[in-house]
Parts: sequence; C-alpha cells; structure tokens
Amino acid sequence: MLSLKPNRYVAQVVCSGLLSVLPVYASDSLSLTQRTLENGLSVYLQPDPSTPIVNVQVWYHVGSKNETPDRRGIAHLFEHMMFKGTKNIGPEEHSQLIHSVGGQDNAYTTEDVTVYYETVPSTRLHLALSLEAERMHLLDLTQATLDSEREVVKEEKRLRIDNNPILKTIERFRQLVFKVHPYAWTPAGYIEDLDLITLDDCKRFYQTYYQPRNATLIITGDIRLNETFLMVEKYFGHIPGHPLPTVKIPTEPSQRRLREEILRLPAQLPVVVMGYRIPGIRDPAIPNLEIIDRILSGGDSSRLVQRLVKRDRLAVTVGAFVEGMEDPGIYIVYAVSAPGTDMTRVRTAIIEEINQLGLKSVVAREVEAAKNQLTDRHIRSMEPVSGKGQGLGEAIVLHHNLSSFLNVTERYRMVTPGSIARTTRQYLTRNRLSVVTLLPTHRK
Amino acid sequence: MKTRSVILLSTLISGFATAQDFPLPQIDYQRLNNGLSVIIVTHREQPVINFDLLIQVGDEIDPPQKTGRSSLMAAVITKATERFSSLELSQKLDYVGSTLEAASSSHTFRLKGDSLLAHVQVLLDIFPEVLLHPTFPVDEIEIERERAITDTKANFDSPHLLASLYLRRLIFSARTPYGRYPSERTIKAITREDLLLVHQQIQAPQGAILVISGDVSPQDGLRWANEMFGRWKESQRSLPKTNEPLVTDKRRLIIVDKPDLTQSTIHIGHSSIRRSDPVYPTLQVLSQIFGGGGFSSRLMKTLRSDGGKTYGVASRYVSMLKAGTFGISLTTRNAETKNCLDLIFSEIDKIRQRGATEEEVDDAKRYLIGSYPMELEAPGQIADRLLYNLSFGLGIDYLRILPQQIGAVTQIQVNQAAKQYIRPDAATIIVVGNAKEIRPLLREYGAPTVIDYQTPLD
Repeated sequence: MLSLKPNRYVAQVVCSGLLSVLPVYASDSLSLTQRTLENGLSVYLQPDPSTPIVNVQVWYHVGSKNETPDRRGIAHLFEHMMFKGTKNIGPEEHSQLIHSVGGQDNAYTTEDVTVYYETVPSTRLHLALSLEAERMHLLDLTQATLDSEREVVKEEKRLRIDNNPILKTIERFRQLVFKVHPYAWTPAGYIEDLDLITLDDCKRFYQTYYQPRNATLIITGDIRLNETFLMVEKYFGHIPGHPLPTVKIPTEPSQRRLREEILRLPAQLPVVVMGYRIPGIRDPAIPNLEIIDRILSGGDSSRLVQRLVKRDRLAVTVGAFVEGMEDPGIYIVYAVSAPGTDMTRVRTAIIEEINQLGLKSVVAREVEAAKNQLTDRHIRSMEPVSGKGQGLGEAIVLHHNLSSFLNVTERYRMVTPGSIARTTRQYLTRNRLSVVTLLPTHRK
Repeated sequence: MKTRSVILLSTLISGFATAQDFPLPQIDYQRLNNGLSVIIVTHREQPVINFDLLIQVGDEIDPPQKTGRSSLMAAVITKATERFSSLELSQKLDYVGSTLEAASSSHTFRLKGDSLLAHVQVLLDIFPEVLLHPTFPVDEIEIERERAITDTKANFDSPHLLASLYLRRLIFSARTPYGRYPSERTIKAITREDLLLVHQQIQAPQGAILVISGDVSPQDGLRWANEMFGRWKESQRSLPKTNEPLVTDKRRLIIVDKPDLTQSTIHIGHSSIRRSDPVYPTLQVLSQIFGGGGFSSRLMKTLRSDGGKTYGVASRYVSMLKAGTFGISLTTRNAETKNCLDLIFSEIDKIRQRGATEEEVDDAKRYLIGSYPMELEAPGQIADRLLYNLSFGLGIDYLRILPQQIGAVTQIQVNQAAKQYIRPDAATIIVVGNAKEIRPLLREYGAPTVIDYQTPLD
C-alpha cells in the first residue's frame, strides 16, 4: 500500500490521497514532486518525457568525512562493495543486468555523499529500482569479495593519485589545509588504511549508513508520477529504516597564518595550488564566492587569465573553483607554468589580483557577466536527464535548498560589487591561505 | 509534453531506413548557394543554441617538420579578428557566457560555439568573423605556442597517454600522419605564415557542413546560416596529397622506462579497419563482449572482478578515415604485469578459438542499441554525432542506420571477426613503468626494447 508523508524540507508538499501527487515546483520546463516513505526514504520525481529514458540516482548521505583517521578510504571501498553482489544477485551482476537492457550505471564517492545511478530505457525503470532496493538492504558482504575489491581500490588510488603528480599535489594540499577535519584526506584514502579494513568494518558501515533514512532517491526522465511512486513503494517500502547515529565530526580550528609547502616530484611542469578556507556550502557567502570565481577565472577575459597568461606570461593555464562542501570548504586557485618559471611570481600575481577584488574594483558589468556564465552553465547542466538528477541531488542533499537549483537567478540576486568586496575581505585573506608548489625534479 | 517527429529534407539521404523505436528531433537540411551544407536540429527543451562547423581538412596535410601546425592555427583562430581585439572578443563572449573553440583532427577542422538563445546575437556576430577574418596576432601565437609545447611535455606525466602515443607511433611510424606527434622542435618551427596558409586551406564552403542545433526553428536556423556564411567564398587553395598510412604490425615488446611509477601501464594493439569498412558494426559487438563493455566484458571479469588485478581494463577499435587500431589497455601493480599479460593473451585465445556465446552476442547488441539514445540526448550530442558520421561519408540518416546494423550482426559474424580482427601474433606490447622491476618478469615475452620515457617522439 502506498503510504507517503511530506518531506521536512519541502513544506509545500500536501498528501491529499493515495494517488494524488502534488508538485513542489512546476514550470514549463521542470516539474518536481516529492514524497517520503514511512521508512524515511525521501523520493523526488521529475518527469521529462522528451527521450524514452530514465535516470535513477540514490544519494547516501555518507562520504569520506564520516571516516575515522585509521580507516581512510572505507567510504569509497564500500561504494565498490555495493557492486559485489547481494542475496539474490551475483557479483557485478547488477551492472551486467543494467547493460543487458541497454542501460548504463556507475557510482561515485565524495567527501559528503556516495551516489549510485543508472540510466535505462524508461520501460526498464522497474529493473533499476529493484536492483537499487536489493543492494540497499540485502548486500552480501564476504571476505573473498572484500579481499579482491580492496586490491582494485588500491590500484585505483595508485592510478589516480600516486602516479599523477598534480593529484599528488592536491592530496598534500588537503593535508596542509585541514589538520583535524576529515577533509584532510580525499575519498581515495590511503593504502595503509585500506589494508586494515575488515569485513566487520564493512558490515558496520553498511548497517549504519546504507538505509532508507540516510538516502534520497531521485528519478528523472520519461516517467508517470503515480505509477512510479507505486513502483518505488513496492521495491523500497518494506526496507526497514532506523534512527541514524549521531556522528561527531571534528571541527577544524581557525587558521591563523599563511601555510605553505614546496613539493618536489618527478614531473614535467611546475604547478602552484592555492586555497582559501571558506564557509560550508549552505552559507550565504557561497553565491558571492561563485561570482568571484567567475570574475577571476571565467574565460579569457577573466582577471587571472588576463594577468597571468596574457599580460605577464607567467602561466600557460590558470584556473579556479569553489570546492564547496557541507563543512567549511576551500576556494582553490591553481596555475600551471612552463618549466623554469619563477613560481613565487606566479603566486604573488594571483594574490594581487584577488586582493584587488577587496578594494571595490569590481564593476557591475563584471558581476553581470559572471551571473550570465553561471546561468548558462546551470541550463547546460540540465540537458541530459542525468544532469538534472545530479543538480537535484546536490540541491536537496547538500545545499538543503531546492530554490537555488530551480531558480538560479534568485541564487545570485543579492550579489553586488559591494558584497563581492566584503566577501573578498572576509574570506580571501592571507591568514586563510594555504599554498603548495610542485617543483619538477625530472632530469633535463 | 513535447512531441518529437522526424522530418528529413535531406538530399544527403539515400533511401531512409526503417524507423527504430527511439525518437530523434526534427532535422532539416539545406545547401546554400556557395555549397555550404546546413543542418538544423530543432531540439527545444532548453533555451540553448549550438553552432558547429566542420571542414574536411585536418592535421594530415601538415608537413612532418611542422607537425602541430593545424592545431596551432585552430588554437589562435578564435583569439582576434579584424573587428575585435583579443580582449574585446573574449569580453563579448564571456559577458554572455558563450563559448567558442576550434580544433583540428587528422582529417577535419571544427569550429564550435554555444550560447543561450537570449544571447545568440553575439554568437551570430562572432562565429563567422573568427572563421573568415581572423588576424593571428603574434602575441597570441606565442601564448598558444607555449601552451602547445607545455602540453607535449605534460604528456610525459601521463602513462596511459605515453603508452598510446608509442603504440600509434610503432604501428604507423613517423612517416605517416597517424604516427606523428607535435614536439617542441616541430611547434617552434611553425611560423605565422604557416598559420595563414592553413587558414587559406580551410576556406572552402563547398563540402563544409554547419550544424545549428537547439532551440531554433528550421526557418530561423536557415536564416542565421545565410546571415553568417551566405557570402563565404572558396579561396584559391591547393591541398597537398596525402598518402595511405604505412603499417607495421608485428609482435614486439617495448618497455618505456619511468622509474618513479608504482604501476605498469600496458597497451597492446595492432592496426585495424578504417571507418568505411562494412565490418565496423560487427567489431563494435565483438569489442563490447571482449573488453569494451565495462563489467560485462570478458577482460574486466577476468582481470578485475575475479582477479582484483586492475582498476579497469578495456579494449577498443578506433577507426579513422584511412586506417584504424585495435587496442587493449590497463594498469596494474608492477608484480602483476606478467600475470595480466598472460591472462589477456589467454582471453584472446579463448575468444578466437571458441568464439562468443549467443547470449553474449544478444546482450552486447541490446546494450549497444539500448544505450544509443543516451548518446543523443542533448542537441550538441546530436550535432557531434552527425558531423562525425558525415566526415566519414555516412549520411544524415546514418543516425538511424547504425543501430539497425548492430541489430543485424550475427553470432557467426562475431566469431569470424574474432579470428580475423584480433591478431595476437601481430600485437605490439607497450609497458610504461619501472623497467628495472618489470623487465625480469617479462622474459617469456622476448627481449624488450627499453626506451627512456623522456625520449622525444619527433
């Protein structure tokens, strides 16, 4: 029996009958409907009949920030274990079944969430849902699959980080920025910790985090609302939900002074990675920082490209992004230069450009350009159904703010040249800055 | 709910095939008086517009000593024009959030631009301007030259890229465009006059194709095409002749020594079919079964799922205009290098001798056909696929024909193809890694040639 109740975060939802589903948002291009099952699973449906495919995403609110310092990498290792079979499905059979109907599937782990997704022909929605439901509560965790998958994850870590000088620099950079908080390590973890993870660790992790109350199910694409809610109830409704434990994640103390380090690695090109400590993703400063980011690095006319690439010829590539996370994050600026470049000059030029923003140098046209760029990016991200699901997931699970996804203009309405100067002076300061410089050691 | 229909006005269409059960947006075709083919893809879900122009001239006309010339021209062409300085151009584009980029492949030049519908006027103004009236300022050439040189250096930090460069080099040799790469030496040899020459060589509306896709009616799209390129004229140009690729396939082992690596990156491959070869759809099914299908593939099952030896292993046929390659790639910890090679060659023997099962063939076909609409979701994806097809002489209707061809592939064809198109005795083996550790493990595979990873590839 279908039994759904409104979600806490979306007050507009009204449960007015078994098959009556009211939208939380509707426009010509996007309508979104939400219900919460009795077991706590939050379900969002967004019909888009333009292509006969459907995207299913299950967002578990667990990532590497939920790890302890002696089990760094378990969240990501566990993501791999979710493909290793359940009570009724053999190892890797999940993906094979999805492929055999022409579908695609995968998963990813971040610091804050672990996301599983399938895109399937819309006639096969029931397959994707039944498989996700199966592994939400009937995962078969064995020593043999753990041993084998641990090796796979170690290979992934070697491939992505240990044998990649730029990502190795980022790994070191995280350790410099965060001394206490689990953001000090990336979801890839460390090989020495991966080797320590036991089957019991995995079982505890599964029991704690993989359950309806810690999950959000997002379905976008060619679906009919009532039929889909019935299907969701059928596959997920019986899975027991239980209260989530209170997990205390260490708070990172304030940074008081500039932190810097030089890393020498076998590499071809010098790189500088700079990061300013910024608030968490739900803080009102974040939209300002996103606009700042575009002014600094959005296209060839941006301030950093004009200064470092075009005028001073100090870098061949300069970029920046807001590493927005639930707990306080980082605004990262990086530059890649030609061999032999004085990287101190690169760093100085970047800091000078950032400091300029605090001196009320930004004009309204630059802010407008930044808003246009972010609007364009937002609209383009919604072109594939998987992009809509991704955007919804971030807005619901991470931002706790659907309106920021649904109305991008509103998100940046309050940003002005004045607010940019204030935000710069507050957050992009020397005492919040960490810098890692990669200097190549390769022989000429 | 929007309805999608198919109205094809194309003169490129030769006998439209039976409709498949996936929808495509409305696609219209017109040829302008100057010979430019214009395709309008009306896809109105999001208020976005994409312009995508293809000219059938690419890197293969670059002289060997100036390899990288076409790519450098593509990097600079979008930087400044007769009406707009570099700063003005980028300010105009960045103000509205539009992007504009050009790229050169072995046989094509592409210019792509996108914009929100509300700002399309900016793109309408700039898109033809950069193609027809670029100024190639010296300072922009130097910035892009430096970037191109550092790109070639960065290749040495990527074991997979290094392995794939060596594999192509050994199969096609430096005497053939498919085996040549830009280096610091060749990039430094390129002059501004060289870029002007390449620019002249791409001034050819006859044979060029413009796709306008997104929130646009066929009428508006055609009007925009005429506004932008109605007066575009063929230049006086002569294109150098290009030769058929030289191919050397033989069993050999090359170790590219990079002592700091903790993994071996292995690429195994040989030459294969050009894109026009009719066996192409069969090889797509074969590859899906053997190593192309993620967790569903045999290689992935043996090396990752059962063995935990690698994060990922894949095989792939890459088909170009005049030739192609078949390749297998993976990374593994040093100690497993030989075991992985043994397992790969054992899987090759199995599929060549025993073939694929009917169930495997059916699953692979279902995946390739079923996932096809996912590759054609957004208007930009459709434009990309159309231009890819058309650049190989396949018609507009090939969008629908490919899944039909896949559907018609039989188990017998797949198993014949496995014998003929996976050739272990002709396979070059490249291992990028720590030679000191890897070499002793690979004695059974013959005496290797060991190359320092920083050896220039020019």
